[in-house]
Amino acid sequence: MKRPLIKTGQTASRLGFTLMEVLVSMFISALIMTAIFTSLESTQKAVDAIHNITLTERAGPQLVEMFRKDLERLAVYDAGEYTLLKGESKNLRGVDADRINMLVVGRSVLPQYNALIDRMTYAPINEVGYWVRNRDGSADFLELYRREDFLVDDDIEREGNFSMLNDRIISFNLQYYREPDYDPAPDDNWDSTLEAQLPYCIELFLELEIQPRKSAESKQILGANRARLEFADLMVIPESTRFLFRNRLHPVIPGLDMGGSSAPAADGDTGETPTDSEIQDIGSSAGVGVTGNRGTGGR
Amino acid sequence: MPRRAQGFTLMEVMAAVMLIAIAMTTLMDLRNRSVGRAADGRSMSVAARLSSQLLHRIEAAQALDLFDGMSGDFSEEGFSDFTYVVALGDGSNYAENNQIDSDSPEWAWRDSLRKREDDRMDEEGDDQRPEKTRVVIRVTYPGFDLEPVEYRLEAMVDSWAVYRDFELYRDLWDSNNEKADVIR
Repeated sequence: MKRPLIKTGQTASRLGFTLMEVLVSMFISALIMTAIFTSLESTQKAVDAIHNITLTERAGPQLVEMFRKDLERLAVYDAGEYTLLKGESKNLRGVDADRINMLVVGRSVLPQYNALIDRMTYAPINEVGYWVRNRDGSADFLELYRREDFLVDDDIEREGNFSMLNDRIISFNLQYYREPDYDPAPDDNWDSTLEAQLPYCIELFLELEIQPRKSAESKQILGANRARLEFADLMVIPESTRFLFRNRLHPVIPGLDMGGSSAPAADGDTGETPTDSEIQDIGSSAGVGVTGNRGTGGR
Repeated sequence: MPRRAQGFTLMEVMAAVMLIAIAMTTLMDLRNRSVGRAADGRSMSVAARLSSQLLHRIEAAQALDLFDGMSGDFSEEGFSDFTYVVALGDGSNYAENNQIDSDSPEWAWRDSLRKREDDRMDEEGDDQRPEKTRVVIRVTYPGFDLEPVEYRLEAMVDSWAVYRDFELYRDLWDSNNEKADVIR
């Protein structure tokens, strides 16, 4: 049997809630609302903290690591005029804004259109540079660019594609150490053409500022609230690499005519991989390694 | 009977509150833990970065007065909560991790290195430095739960750089410079 909504003959109190009931329900809903807002707020704080974490640990170290990777791939072989690395000390608005250019072996980041084969191609060797310039509309920050110029031309310091790495740079400073010593004094500039050698070590100072979101939560996380971050790192160029560069060694492929004297030995009919001694034979018969220096005219 | 059906009993309310409390506690705990993990992950990457920076300084022969068991903190880099201990060589207490199981591949690897070093000492005498020196960097930092966490970085570095033995460096590499002059 259906119960009527309003029963006749009953007291008026059955028509609505008592004051007590309303109060209790309001109290409970207040509690629930408080709990929800508290949890929302602390979740927001956690998001802030994680945001700061990501920002601080990504921005600087990533740039340093990128620079290190490029430096590890210097094109040291066969440096005709010793043109390989040029670092200049520069200043913008009174802060260090150094510039460096170098030749780097390895696939380029940006492809370039090749009309001959109608395809985008990647260069196996590039001019790479790190340049800093003023940021438009901001007196506080600089912009750091990575320059990449497809293949190698006469001037390793001009043209190319620029990709922006960071636009909140405070300063960017590079120092070059000539030889390991007890109290080494670094140089601000380095031109490998003049020096005919590479520095044994490059020190990078990078200062940048992030916009941390501050919250009580993130204070519990070590150093997560710092806005200005300084990164300093030393990059050693191994002695073996410096040796290759100083002595202008160039690699040769055994059996391949490098413009030397005679044709390669024609014992390729077996089609097998040559053994070590065979490679040596090919090497001696093909006059490998007598191409000499290539002098001027670019590499 | 009709009076009883109109509201919840105390038991019912308490059970409901209990359930909500448990759910809320679990959720809050989960949230806390995820923040803690993010923080720990970040601290570890900081520790990795700081220790590799220290290693790079050693590689560049610019770590002053490096000796076995040298310790300090990274307050210069802005992380005074991160402390380090540097250990050198294979015979050091720090170089071998006592927690390693003797059946593990790492133990076998360490043992083979130790044997090789002993053999070399037997052949050449121990007055000569090995070409490379083992450097172990241990970075300790408080985790989110304030328990200390340790990060260990181990690498073989040129001995001349570790001991800042620049005479040894010149013995090894100076001939190259002379050669370069001849070519030029």
